[in-house]
Amino acid sequence: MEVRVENLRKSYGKVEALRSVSLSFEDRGLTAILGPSGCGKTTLLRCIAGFLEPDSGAIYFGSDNVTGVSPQSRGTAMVFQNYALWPHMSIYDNVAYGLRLQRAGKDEVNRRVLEALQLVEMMIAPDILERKPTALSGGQQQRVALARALVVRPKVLLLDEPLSNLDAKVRQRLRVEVRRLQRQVGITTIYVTHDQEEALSMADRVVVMDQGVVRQVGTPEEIYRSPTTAFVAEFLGVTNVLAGHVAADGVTVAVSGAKVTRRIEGAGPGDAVTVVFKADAASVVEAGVSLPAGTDTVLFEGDLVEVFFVGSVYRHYVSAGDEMILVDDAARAQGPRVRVAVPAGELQIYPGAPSTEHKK
Amino acid sequence: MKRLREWGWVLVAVPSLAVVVALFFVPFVRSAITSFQDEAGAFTLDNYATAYRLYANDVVYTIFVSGFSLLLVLIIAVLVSGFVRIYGGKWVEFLFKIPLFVPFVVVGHAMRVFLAPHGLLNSTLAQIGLVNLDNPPSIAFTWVGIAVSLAWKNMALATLLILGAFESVGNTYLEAARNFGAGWFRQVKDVLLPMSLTSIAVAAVLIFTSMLASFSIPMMIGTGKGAQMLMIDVYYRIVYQHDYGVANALGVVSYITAMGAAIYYLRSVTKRG
Amino acid sequence: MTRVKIVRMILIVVAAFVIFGPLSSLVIWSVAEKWFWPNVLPQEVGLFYWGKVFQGRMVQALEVGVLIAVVVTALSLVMTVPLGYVLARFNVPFKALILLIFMLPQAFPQLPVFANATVYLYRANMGGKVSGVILIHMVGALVYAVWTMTAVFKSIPVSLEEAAINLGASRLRTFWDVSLRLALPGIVASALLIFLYSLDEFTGTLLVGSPFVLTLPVFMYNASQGYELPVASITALLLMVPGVVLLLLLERYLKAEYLSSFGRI
Repeated sequence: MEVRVENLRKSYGKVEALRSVSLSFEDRGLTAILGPSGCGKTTLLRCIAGFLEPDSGAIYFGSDNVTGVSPQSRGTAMVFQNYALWPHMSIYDNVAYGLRLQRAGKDEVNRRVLEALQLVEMMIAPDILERKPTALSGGQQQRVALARALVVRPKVLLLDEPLSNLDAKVRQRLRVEVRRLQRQVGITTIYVTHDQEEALSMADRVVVMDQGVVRQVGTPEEIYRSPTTAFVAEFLGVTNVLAGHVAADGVTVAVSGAKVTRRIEGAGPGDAVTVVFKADAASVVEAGVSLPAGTDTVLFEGDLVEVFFVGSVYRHYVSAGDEMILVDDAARAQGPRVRVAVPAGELQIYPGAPSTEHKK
Repeated sequence: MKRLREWGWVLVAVPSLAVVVALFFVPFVRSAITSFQDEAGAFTLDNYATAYRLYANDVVYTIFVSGFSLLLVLIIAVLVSGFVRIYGGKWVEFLFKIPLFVPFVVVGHAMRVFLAPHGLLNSTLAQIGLVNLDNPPSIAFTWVGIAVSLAWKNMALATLLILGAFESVGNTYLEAARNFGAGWFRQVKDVLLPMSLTSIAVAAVLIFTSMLASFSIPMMIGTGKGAQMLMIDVYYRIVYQHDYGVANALGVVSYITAMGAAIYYLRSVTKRG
Repeated sequence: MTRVKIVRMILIVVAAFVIFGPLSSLVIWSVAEKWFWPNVLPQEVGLFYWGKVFQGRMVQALEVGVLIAVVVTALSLVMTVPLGYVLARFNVPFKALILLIFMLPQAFPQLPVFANATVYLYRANMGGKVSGVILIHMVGALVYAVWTMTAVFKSIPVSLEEAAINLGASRLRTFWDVSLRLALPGIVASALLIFLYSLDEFTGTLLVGSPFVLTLPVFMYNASQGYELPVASITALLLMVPGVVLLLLLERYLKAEYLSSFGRI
């Protein structure tokens, strides 16, 4: 079932949470909605679930317009950040609740509940069905919540930051589980998260949102490697953001002084631009070490302020001009002066001066 | 449709609102209006003049007794709560909850019997020789009796509220103080108290106004002659003299005093914080 | 023993004396048949007065008081449980004003207000009758209950209700299966506190009910004024029983918020 939203608007008082958002969520795929807090992703999800009424716009499930349909009748199933398992009901009753509302027969309920719990690998003890949610760990509770959602065979599965309350290790494991289950069952799934790693690793398509607007939609590779706006470029990965301006023969990158020959759409001679590159796209060596000749490499000279070992690479903090440049390199460079090299192809350049946001 | 439903919710509130408005707010307003009316219904300030002449002393007395009792309550509650917060004390906490469940009238009667000149306290103390058998002090039928009774009953509420405020002060703040050498008293004075000022102020206002308004306890422990608590004066004025004018004037004075105390305390607390 | 332990023991002993001292004099008076100063204990003890009390008008006062308390509790629950839920969950027009109306009565002295309310009740032919006393009790009960029920429902996470709605439950069904079930301990605790409040209520009952409708507190007052100290003390002890039972049974369920507003009515 393809889900489509058209021109959705929603405001809370003066705050515009959603500004004319139009999106489609592919049938049987997992679409992640990614963005910083306050970007509108949860508002969007709750509109699709029916808990919020948009001020204007429409929501379609397949060919049905469900705008205005009560949340009870939409056929969605939601998994909440705090699991929302009813503490006064047993695991069995929690999972069976939706089915019983659909007036399924006792035998069918029993069969499907057990099936769902098998699916999420929660049939771990003979008495598990009678236990109460508080007796389970966070990860286990979330599995049960998943079972409760899947057992009713919903048209759309909605997940609202489901793994945010869990420990890192549990989160990693559950990511794989959720993805596997989703593929197996083949449900159209919308997954809201603020965690980029989660979005990139799990989704078929990623929607990046900021301040009520959709910034970019694409596959995880596309939005990571080919961000179409400065915001998306800055938001994903560990990034460096520098100022630059357009000169007659190309773009001058501040601090470095290097020139990159490239035409930027929307910026003419004299205009400011934003130059972004990922920390892992650059390399760092001691000053004085010569680098292989490459016509299109931008070089920075600076002081090595700090090096952190982050497990997979060394993260170098290089102070050049008034900027702090981050470089992830497998080898550890020695200071005090170093040279940073960035292949020109890895530079993402956008019209407009850098926003002050990135300084935080 | 949505607006209709929202107004529907107001309907749910109507029965409860009706009772409270009819039996509290309407009489409240009536008492204020009639305090300015004479027998014929004309506007007059005579009721207030009479009230001032007859009961000015009692107003001061009531405020004094309530203030003294409040001070007693606060000191005890802060010290006990301070101890329980820092060192724990399940039994102490439990014991201090008991007065909450003892009705006001029972407190009045029990105190009267306990503190009477020939009461249990005096006879027990006489055994130890602290009290002269021929001339035992009469606590019960004086202002001390009322103050002690009010304090006894309200200690429970005060401890509940203040301990609650103390409990919400994080352990790390106390540990930091302890780390720098603060003993129990300093921890209470320098950490717990300042960080709970708003709650304590609220508790103080609540308890003070309820003491000003106390009726059951003074009725039970009554002093007979001399200064009376304000509500006793109001009661007798109505029941024995059927004089609603003056009684309501006194009532209005009590409303203002209660409100005044509330505003004064809350203003001084929010100004600081 | 550490110093802390010693101080704690002293605190407990002092607290016990302060709390139980006055109460103990009640107990002793209730079994005193002959007690003259300056004996610490009565010269003669016995249950004579207990028999007298239970054969007298006290029983009637007890029955009337319990009846009134039951009615007040039932009515309060019916009126405030739905209201509490509505105030906790929905955008009710004038919500702030409504909540204020239920908070203000706690700020002002009851006696002058109730004295004037008595006039109205007599005019409506409910003065000196059980119906009038029930109504005057309702004022205090509702003021306490509205606040408490709202707090009880507010403490239930909305997501638990949304999860049920999401799976197809109607609002009513959700209220019954989820909200009410989870609110039950708080509602029961508050109901018992309302019952206690009505049983112990003195001011309103004295003004509206006497001399025709007597509840236990008023009966006790009358007895104590007449110097029938054993009778008054026995009645006082009986009045304490429901409270103590409540305290012991509900230690677990009585959250501080419910108790602290109870302490003010």
